[in-house]
Amino acid sequence: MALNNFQQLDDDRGSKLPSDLEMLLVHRAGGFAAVGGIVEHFVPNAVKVAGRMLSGDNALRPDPRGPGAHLSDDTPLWRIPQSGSYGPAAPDISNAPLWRVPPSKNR
Amino acid sequence: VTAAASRKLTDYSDSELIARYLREQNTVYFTVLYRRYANKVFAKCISMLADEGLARDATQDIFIKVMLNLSKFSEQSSFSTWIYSITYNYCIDMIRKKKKMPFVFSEDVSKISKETEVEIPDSVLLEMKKERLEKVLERLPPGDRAILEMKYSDDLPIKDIGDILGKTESAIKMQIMRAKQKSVALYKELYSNDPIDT
Repeated sequence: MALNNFQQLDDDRGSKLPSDLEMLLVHRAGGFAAVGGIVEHFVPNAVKVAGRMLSGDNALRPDPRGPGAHLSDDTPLWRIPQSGSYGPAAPDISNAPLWRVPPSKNR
Repeated sequence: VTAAASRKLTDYSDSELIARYLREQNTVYFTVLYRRYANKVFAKCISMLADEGLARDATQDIFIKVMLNLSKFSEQSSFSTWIYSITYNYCIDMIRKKKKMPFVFSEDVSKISKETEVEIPDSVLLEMKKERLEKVLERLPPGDRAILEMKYSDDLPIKDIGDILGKTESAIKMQIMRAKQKSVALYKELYSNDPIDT
């Protein structure tokens, strides 16, 4: 279809479009897509966790009785965590001979 | 290879490209949209802002705006109308801010009485030589220039022009008539010895 004089003017002006603009925009589009992906993956979870914490969901709170308190009497002692902010401090094993360091610390 | 997979990206409609870009976040779909409309957007920015550097920055800003708002595109209008709407309004805002011009149109249409208006046929503008039309358009207020380009370059219906500029259809018709009269007057000022169709 033949272009009228307005459309011809538009074509003339449009042909001056700088070629580097496409690269710049596509680069930014890639950046937005990456950020969008991160937001999509993490924000819903973060919002869900915050919502549960605000609503008083105890499952998300640390056990005030200390680590391992929820375990039964039948749980062998070696399965109860030693350190952390709750319960007795873990013994200092930094200078212990290797054969005395529990396997999990030796890995 | 399925028929859908073998289709060229350039064969996709605007809506398909948008849907795929939003779903897959793959910039290749946005690139096709960009290539389809960048020249038009840049041309409108040059026409409105009369400066290639400003037009370049404006084109960049407009496409970023489009990219960030693609999910809000409702398909109540075509994508082309939507992107032109963003372009014209961006440029009008920029002119208002830069030149501190509250009005970008030649005059307030509500104050014009209909009886004094003379309808100028479209052919009068469409028969102007391209270079002369350019000179005339350069001298029009940016709003009038935009409204004429929407009508004659983009072939937008009066209703869409009204939606873009936030005016009623009758106000747009009146504004077009005023812009045409102003264009003819400017032409006569510039090329007093030559009739329009030479």
